[in-house]
Amino acid sequence: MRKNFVLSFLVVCILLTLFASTVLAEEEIELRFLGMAQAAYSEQNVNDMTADFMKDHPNIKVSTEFVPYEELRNKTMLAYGSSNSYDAALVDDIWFAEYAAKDMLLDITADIPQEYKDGVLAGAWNVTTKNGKILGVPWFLDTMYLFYNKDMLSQAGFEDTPKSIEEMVEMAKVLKEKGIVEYPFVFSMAQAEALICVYANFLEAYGQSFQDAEGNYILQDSGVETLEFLVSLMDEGLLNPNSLEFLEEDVRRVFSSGDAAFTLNWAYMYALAKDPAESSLAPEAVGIMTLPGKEGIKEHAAMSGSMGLGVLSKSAHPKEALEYILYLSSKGVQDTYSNLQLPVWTASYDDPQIAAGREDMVAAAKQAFSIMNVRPSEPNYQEASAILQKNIQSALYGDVAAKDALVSAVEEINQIK
Amino acid sequence: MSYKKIKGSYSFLTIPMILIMGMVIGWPLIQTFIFSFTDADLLGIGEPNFVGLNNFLNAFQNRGFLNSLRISGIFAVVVVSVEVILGTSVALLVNQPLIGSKVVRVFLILPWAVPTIVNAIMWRLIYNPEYGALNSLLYQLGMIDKYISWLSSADKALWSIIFADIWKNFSLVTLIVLASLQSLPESQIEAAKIDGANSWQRFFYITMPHIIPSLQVAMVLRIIEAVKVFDIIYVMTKGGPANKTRTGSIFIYQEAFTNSRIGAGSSFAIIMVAFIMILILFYMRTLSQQKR
Repeated sequence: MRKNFVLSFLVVCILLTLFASTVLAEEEIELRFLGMAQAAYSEQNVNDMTADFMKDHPNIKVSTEFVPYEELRNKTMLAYGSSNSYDAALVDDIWFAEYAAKDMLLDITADIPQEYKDGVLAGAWNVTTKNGKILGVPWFLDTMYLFYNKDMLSQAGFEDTPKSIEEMVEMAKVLKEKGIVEYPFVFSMAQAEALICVYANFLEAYGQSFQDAEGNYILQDSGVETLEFLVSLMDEGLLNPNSLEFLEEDVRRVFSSGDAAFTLNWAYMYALAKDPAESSLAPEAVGIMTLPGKEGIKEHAAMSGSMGLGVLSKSAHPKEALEYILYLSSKGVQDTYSNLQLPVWTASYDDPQIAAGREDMVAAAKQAFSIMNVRPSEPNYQEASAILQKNIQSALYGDVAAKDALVSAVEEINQIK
Repeated sequence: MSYKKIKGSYSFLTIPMILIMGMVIGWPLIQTFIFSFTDADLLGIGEPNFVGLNNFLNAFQNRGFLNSLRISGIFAVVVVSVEVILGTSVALLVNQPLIGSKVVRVFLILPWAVPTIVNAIMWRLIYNPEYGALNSLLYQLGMIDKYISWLSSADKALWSIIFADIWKNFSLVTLIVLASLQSLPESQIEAAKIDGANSWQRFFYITMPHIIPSLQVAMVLRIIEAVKVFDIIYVMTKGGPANKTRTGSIFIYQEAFTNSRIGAGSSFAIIMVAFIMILILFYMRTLSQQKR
C-alpha cells in the first residue's frame, strides 16, 4: 500500500514537472524591431512603450534597434535580404510602395481591429495602404511646420504671422535690415531626403506637384519657380548658407539658439524648442503654424512626412509582431507619449489634456492634416530622390540654373523609370 | 628530420585557417564576381538573369561612376603625397636627439590609433559651421571675418575631408619611416661627416636610400587605403554636397544597397578591386625587392 502510494506520488511529481517545464518552455518569443533614432518618438519613449508591452506579454521579448532616418530603409532591406529579417519596422510613407512591390510587408488588412479602423485619422490609413491592402499601422502623421521666433517678429514690429510666402520673405528682409538676425531662414538642405521634404513643402505652397496624373515627373516645368525661390533666398542672404549641410537636428539647434527667425521642421521640435534644457529661447517665443502658401495660389501648404509600423513578411512570429505594433499605436500608448508626437487617433484631438499647453501646435496639426499632400510613392522613389537631391543642390550652389538643374534631374529620373 | 620534412608533415594544420579564410574572404569575392555578370536584386527577388559584360560596359559609360573614380583618384594622390612628405619630415625631426622627442613619438601614435569613425565625427564637429573649433580659431586669429561652412561648400568639402584624413594617417608613415631610421647605423653618418659631407648630402646619399624601401611599403599601403576610402566620407558628408565627395566606394554602396542593384554594384566593385589588385601586385613586388 505504502509502496503504491510512493509510486503514485513519484508519477504525479514527474507529470507535474513535465507539465511545468512545458508551460515554462512555452515559447519565449523573440521579436526584433527596427526604429528611428531621430525625430518623432524618442528612443527612450519607444523603449518604455516596449517595456510595458513585455510586462503585459511575459512570453514575448522585444529587442529594439534604432538607426538614423538615412539608414532606416537600407538596414530594413539588408536585414530582409539576409536570413535575419526584423519582425517589425518603422516605414516612411515614401517606402510603402517600394516595400509593397517587393512583398516585404505582411498584408494585415483582415487583422486590423475595428476600433483602429474607426478611431485612427482617416488620412493616416492612406499612408499605410497600397493597392487596397493595409500594409502597416499608422504611427504618426507629420509634416514640416513653419516655426517662427515670436520675439524676433515683435522686435521688427510684426504682431501677426505671415499670411503668404511673399509676406514671410518681406518680414525676413526687415529682420535682416534691422540687424535682428543675420540669416532669418534656416532649412535642412543637406544632400538627403530632408532637402526633398523642404523643397516639397514649398512646391506645395506654390501649388505645384512632382508628377502629372500619369506619374511622369514634370518638375522641369512645375518645380522651377519653387527652386528659383529657394535660390533667391540664398542669393539675398536670407537663408543661412550652412543650410546646405544641415539635417533636422542641426536646424533645431540653430533655431533654438536664437539664430534664425523661421525654419521648417517636424512636430518633435516644438517640445524641444520650448525645453530650457534644449533651447535658449523663452518657451513663449516659439511659434508654430502651417507653411503659408504663395499669394493667390493657396492659403496654407503641408507635405506629409508620416510613418507607419509594418510587419515584415519574413517574420517568424507575425502574429506577435502585429500585436506589438498594434500596442505601440494604440490610443492609450499614443496619448501617454504624446509629448514629442501627436497621436494618430481622432479622439485625442478633442482631449483637452493632449492639447494643454500646446494649443497652437494642435491647431496647426489639425489644419495640416486636412490639406496634407504626399511625395511620390513609387518603387524607385529613393533613387529618383537621390537624383533630385544632387541636382537641387547644384542649383542652390549656383553651379547651374534652376531650370537646367530640374531638366537634368527629370532626364536622369526618366532613364531609371 | 629535415626542416622541409617537418614543414610538410605539419602543413595540414593550416587547413582550418585556409577554410576560414576561404569562407570569410574567398566566398564573398566569388559571389560578388558571379553577381557582377547578372542583374541580381539586393533582396534576391526572382532569379537573377545573366547579362554578360553589360554591367561592365555600362560602368564605363556611367558618368556618375567615372566621376566618382576621378574623386577617388584626387583623394588618393593628394592624401598619399602629403602624408609621405609630412610623415617623412616628422620622422626625421623626432629621430633627432631633441628634448621631448620621445614624448612626441608616443603622441604621434594617437591620431592613427583613433578609429576612423571617431575621427570622422570629431572632424565633423571641428568643421561645424555654427560652433566648430576651426572657425573659432581662424576667426580669433583674424584669418576669416565670418564662419565658413567647410563641409557644405562644394569647393571646400573634399579638401576638408582630405585634411582630416591626413591628420589621422600621416603618423603611420612617420612610424614606418622612423623604424627604418632607427636601423640606420650611426657609423655611416659619422663616416660621412668625417669625409666632409654636409647635412643635405648626408640626407640624400645615406638617409634617403636607407628609408626608401620602407617608404615604398608605406606608400603602397596608403594608396590602397586611400583609393577605397569609404568610412570617413560616409560619416562626414555621405558623398555630398551635390556628389562632390562621392568616391568610388560610396558610389558602389549607393548602387548596391540604396538602389538595390547588387549586380551592377558588384561589377563596379570588381573594377575597383581590379584597380586595387594592380596596386597590391606592385606592393608585393616592392616587398620582394626589399627582401633581396
